[in-house]
Amino acid sequence: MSAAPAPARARQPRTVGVSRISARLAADGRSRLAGLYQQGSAKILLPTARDTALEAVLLNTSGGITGGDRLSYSGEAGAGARLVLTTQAAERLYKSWPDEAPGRLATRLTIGPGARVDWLPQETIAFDRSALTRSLDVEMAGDATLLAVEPFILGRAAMGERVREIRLRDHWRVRRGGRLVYADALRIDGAALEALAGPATLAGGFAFASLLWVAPGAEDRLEALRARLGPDGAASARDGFVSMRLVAADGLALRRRIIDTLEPLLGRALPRVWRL
Amino acid sequence: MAEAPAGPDAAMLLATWFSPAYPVGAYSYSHGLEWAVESGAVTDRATTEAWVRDCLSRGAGRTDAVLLARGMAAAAAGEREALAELAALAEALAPARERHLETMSQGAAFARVTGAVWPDAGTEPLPYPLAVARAAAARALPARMVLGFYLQAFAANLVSAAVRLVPLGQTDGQRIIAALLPLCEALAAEAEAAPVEDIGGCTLLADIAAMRHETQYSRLFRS
Repeated sequence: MSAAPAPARARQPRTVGVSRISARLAADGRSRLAGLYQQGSAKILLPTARDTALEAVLLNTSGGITGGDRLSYSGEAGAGARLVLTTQAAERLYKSWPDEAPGRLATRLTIGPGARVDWLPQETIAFDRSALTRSLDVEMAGDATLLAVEPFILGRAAMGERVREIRLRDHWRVRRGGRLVYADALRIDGAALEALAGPATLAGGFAFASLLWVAPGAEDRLEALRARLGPDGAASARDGFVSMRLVAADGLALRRRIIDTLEPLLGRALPRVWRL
Repeated sequence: MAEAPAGPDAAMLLATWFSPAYPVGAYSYSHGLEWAVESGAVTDRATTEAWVRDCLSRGAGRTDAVLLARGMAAAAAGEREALAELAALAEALAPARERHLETMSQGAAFARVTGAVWPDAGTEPLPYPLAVARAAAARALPARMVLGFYLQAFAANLVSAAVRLVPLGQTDGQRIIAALLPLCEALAAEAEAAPVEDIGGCTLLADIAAMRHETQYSRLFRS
């Protein structure tokens, strides 16, 4: 888990991975596997069911993302089903060569009527001179539920690592009943230390997360979520969703806050990989 | 892009639209700055300049500028659907309820007034950068100049809020604006050619400030 950034590599074939999973609601009220596809470095693990939801753990066997890599994940919950997705480990972003295209990670979630998807990947840890273009596209029914989080850690400050240069794009688009209701566009380009030092960016905090809760009556949770987020985070609600931001001094503090915040929204235990 | 505008001089028209006296209510929005001052993140001329600089280049300033540039191109080409898509994106991108209010109500007010005075500008409400885009395209104004005025007005409005909130002296406020003008010019040039995929920023603490402003006990501003 504490591997140093990958050594510079010569031109190698880049990582390609595609995984898809879908859940359907069975007659016994459990969400069952309806479809599973995995190709290349993208694998899916299915832990033993602990409740009626289908839980799946995504894994990128290449051990990290670098320039030119292409990963594509998709998850679908059919009418009334619940799919809980997480990742086996933190995703590491390693140095990309300046002439390379950024690594690409595209995630697509489809949530049917009365269905729910929990998108709970572990942290993305970006090392110096890494480059990633990532997208999260959600298509959900009008009465569907989405809980999503994306935690980021830039370098590992405790180990003296500094992220000086980075090319990071993270685009979220959430369409409910065919209408775009929420979009987010994170963009850190070039000199990260300078970009993230200011009082309006991160004031030098290198761990941060975005969280989103979309559900019928989502606004009712706003006050409770604000209390859970504590002094380093905040939440706002409109149009059937609550969007949240968290900034923390380090990855551990961030993880503790995320766990606190997710707990009342989950209605079940967090996936095991999330335990401290 | 730089076609000759029909009617009044382009700079005079833009100076009118982006004057603090133009009735869009800009003075009532602090874009989260009121909370940043309350929380001690912005305390003086240096921290004000850093805050506004980041909101311009890594926040809503640049994002709005790209939306405005793409919106002008769509409106000039008569691509109504593309304009509607940009409007939906601008609305969805608002990171907090009061930032949503800030762009939607200024946009609605701009469209109402501008459409009444210059009937080809359109009156239906749009998020602020797209209401401006539609009106500017109807007058065939040069995009670079429109973007420069928009960004300068955005910066000047934040500085004006800081002068009242921090508080700062009027002269220090003008020093900050002077220091930021080259950035407005550079961002206008960048946004003019930027594709919509290039939108994005990292002003997470400004987003948090806008969210926290919703529960701020004593407040002068609507955002």
